[in-house]
Amino acid sequence: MRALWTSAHGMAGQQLRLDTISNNMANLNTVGFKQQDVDFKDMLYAQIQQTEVTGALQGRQTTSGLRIGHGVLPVGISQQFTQGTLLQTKNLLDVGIEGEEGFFEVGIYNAAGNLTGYAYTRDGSFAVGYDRNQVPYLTDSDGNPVLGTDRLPISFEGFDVSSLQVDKTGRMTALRGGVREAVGQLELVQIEHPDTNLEPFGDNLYALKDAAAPTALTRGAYNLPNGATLKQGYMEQSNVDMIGQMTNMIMTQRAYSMNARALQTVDQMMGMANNLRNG
Amino acid sequence: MIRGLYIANSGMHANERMQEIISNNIANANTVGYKSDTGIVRSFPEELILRINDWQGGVGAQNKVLGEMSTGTFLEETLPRFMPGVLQKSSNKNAYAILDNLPPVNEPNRRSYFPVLNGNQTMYTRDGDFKTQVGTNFLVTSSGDPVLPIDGRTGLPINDARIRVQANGDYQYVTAAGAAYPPGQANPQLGTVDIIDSTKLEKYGDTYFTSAAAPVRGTGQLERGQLEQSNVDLPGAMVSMINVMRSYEANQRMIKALDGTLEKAVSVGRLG
Repeated sequence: MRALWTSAHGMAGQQLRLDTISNNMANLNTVGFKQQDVDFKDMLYAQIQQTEVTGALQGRQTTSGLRIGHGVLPVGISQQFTQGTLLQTKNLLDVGIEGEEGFFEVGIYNAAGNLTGYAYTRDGSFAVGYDRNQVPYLTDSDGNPVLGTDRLPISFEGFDVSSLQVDKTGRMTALRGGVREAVGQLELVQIEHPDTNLEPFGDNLYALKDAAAPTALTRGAYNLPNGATLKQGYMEQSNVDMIGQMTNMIMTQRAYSMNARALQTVDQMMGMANNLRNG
Repeated sequence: MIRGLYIANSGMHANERMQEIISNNIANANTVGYKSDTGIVRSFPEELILRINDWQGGVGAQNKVLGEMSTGTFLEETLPRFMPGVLQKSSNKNAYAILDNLPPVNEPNRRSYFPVLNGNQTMYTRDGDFKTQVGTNFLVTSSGDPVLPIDGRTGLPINDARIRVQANGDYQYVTAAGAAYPPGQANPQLGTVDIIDSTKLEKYGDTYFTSAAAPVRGTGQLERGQLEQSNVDLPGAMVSMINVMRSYEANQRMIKALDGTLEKAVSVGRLG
């Protein structure tokens, strides 16, 4: 019976949505997290042919043939890159991004210390890390070096980090031997349509899709009209809308149990068919 | 008597189909732009029952004709219901919902749709949850098919034109190859087209409809930042499901009863 699978697809789809909602809720307090949602489409329809007579009886409204669906298909998980609230932390190493399409660039290094790729993040809760020569440099909260406009890690060698200042274009200055000097400039890239051009790979990081147009990424976002800018001492909160997620959860859960109910009904119907010849 | 067996069988079969339709509606309770299907059940055409031998002589002998009877039922059609779904706010900047105008009295099923290109075929959808395509920045549906702009002069979709979302969010109208659309040729814009008789639309899947009839200039209004939710009525589906199951059960009992009667007939002729 087709309906058994239809309901099973329905349950699987709602389950995926519940998983996504759970992930959003779990990341309610994750800095720079962007919420996700599942997009649904209905599955292909079986077109059951009808004869010239049954397909064109008087009073019929639709065209000939019986179109019966097969349930629901999750076609994708969409991300929503709306701006999260900037929370003041007064921590010198916290840098928030104002503008939905701005991202920090992070270098991904393997265990041998070689650069294997670049990633992008909205998480500006930075830290100071040390390389194998004990040189301090700027890292993201996970220890990956944050890159400057020269696409190299920003070294704090000789600088007093507690005097760090970051302006809105990412220029960093700090005291070295009592004199304020330039440390480097944070790279801030602008990625157009981040919801489709980026894919998440965990640890608050995103990778640019291979298929993305070369023009999708612009360096020096602060130079663009309406481009993103930086704010030192602020941290971008997760953009998860708690109330919206709760509402979605209720809807999804109800839809899930309705599908389970339909499945049960079909099961009962099949049981009746099995009992046709039972004395 | 044997006829009754097949009639009850046709009843079970129709109810099975009905349950498939209800299950599909329930599975799509959260699908944006989905239109719920209603199964229409019809009785088999009536048959004339005639006497074969005993129509001469006896009571009512003048009547050769006994009367008419129908010998079962079948699911004739799945009729999508085109009433609008609830609009819900979306954080997607390229989300649109269609607000239908009140259709004229002589065209009660006139509704507006977005034209999309699936393969080489123009299809119609109510799902306005649009995205940008990676690489080309064309406006596409959530399953990745380009949304067609309509020609401002004729109101019809332009198959070789695409909508490109620029970095600032504005729309630019280009050819399928990505070149600027020749000026003066048409006046492309994002919009809707109308299907005069929506009941003639055929569901394809991916919340798309196909239409044999050509569309006409759209009358629907676009509401940006909103999405039209599925119009499935869950409590209604629940009630129909109970109804279908009980009707299925009644048909099953009928078959059992007929089976019992047949058994009696068999035992009459059995030698003791």
